[in-house]
Amino acid sequence: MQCEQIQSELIAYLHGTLSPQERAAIEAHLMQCEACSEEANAMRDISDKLSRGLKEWVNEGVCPPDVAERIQRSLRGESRRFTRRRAAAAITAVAAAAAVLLFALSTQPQFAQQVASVPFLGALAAHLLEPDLEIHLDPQQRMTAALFRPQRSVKLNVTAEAEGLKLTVTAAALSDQSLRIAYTLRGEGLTLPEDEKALMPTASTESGPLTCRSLTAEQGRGAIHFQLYCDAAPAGEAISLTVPPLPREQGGTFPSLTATFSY
Amino acid sequence: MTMEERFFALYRPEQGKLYRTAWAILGNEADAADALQEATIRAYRAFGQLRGGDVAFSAWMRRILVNTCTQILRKRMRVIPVERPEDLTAHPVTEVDLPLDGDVWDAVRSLDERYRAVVVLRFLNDMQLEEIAAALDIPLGTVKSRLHAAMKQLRNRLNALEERKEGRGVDAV
Repeated sequence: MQCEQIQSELIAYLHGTLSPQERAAIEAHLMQCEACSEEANAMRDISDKLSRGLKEWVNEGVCPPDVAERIQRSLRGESRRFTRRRAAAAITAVAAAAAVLLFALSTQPQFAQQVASVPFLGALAAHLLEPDLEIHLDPQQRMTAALFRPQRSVKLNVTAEAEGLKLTVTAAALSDQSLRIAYTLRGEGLTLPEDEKALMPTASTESGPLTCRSLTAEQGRGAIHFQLYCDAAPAGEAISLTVPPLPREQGGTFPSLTATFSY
Repeated sequence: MTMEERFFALYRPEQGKLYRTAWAILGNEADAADALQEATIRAYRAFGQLRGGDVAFSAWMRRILVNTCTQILRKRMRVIPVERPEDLTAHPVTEVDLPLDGDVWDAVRSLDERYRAVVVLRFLNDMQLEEIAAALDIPLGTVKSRLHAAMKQLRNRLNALEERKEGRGVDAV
């Protein structure tokens, strides 16, 4: 083999990706060629130096406090969601057991009255099982939401209110291509519609509508917190966010609301 | 101990190392923070499936982090046009290019993104070249050629630095 060919294969040789025959050929060459042997030693040296240097640098690492805090906060939220899902799963199991028991009991006339007074566990379980929603109009957008890296974010407190429903835009964050709008809806008896896509709001500027791609929703106490991902608007333009009419538990719907903000 | 407490007891001592691992792979701190957050949530969700007890946590957590980072890299690289070898030639080593404190990391971080990722996955995470090819979704030959070119550049940079340091030492005497 020629030196040039040997040297182009040194990486593979040093990192163990050659067949035994190829390896033997290179070793035979290295035994008799000083230049290639020196090159191989130099590569080995730099490999050791890189491995040691990078590992030492990583082992000395400290996570910046603001990042550690952010992660802990997100994990707390995750933990609460997890507990809620677990509780819901447990209640579903109880509800299933209760249903079997109630069916057995209802066949006995003396228990008929008790049947009426048993809480409707199934409905409760269904409520607790309500998932934290993720609506992606395009499946690709799941990653956009997960990997959204804001370059600039602004806290806001812009509200709109009508007929017992309050919309609050709480933050806007801009990445290179997307805008994330955080908003909260509060209303007595506000429930999520059966068709999740009916939750999707619209956003527009004076120049026209912004394409909305994803929405995530998390139910808190008495409120639903949303994060909408849409195309970035030109800087400085006022953005109008309009939420659609959403169902009331007691029947009917809340009105559509619009909040206008700039960031 | 709740599951959250147990997770944190294992996770906290690793966090600094994990943060730097993500920084090394992704090349900047903002992306490292996001990747670590994403990986931590993934790990927390899968914590119940961790096999091998507490001693297995560190390697398991690191694997999740590296997967999260390479996923981000793959996505990022998709928007970078396929390189021609001449586009990736070494920057000329000048005084300005040289790392200031001789840290290996300073030399590695100054590499082109595609070189840096391969170097870090190989030398920090001890991944086999085939694993790197699969993780970054590039051919094995590309991994080899990038690694070869990267090591040449690093060798020049670190040697130049050592020479400069020696020069300084002489001046100081």
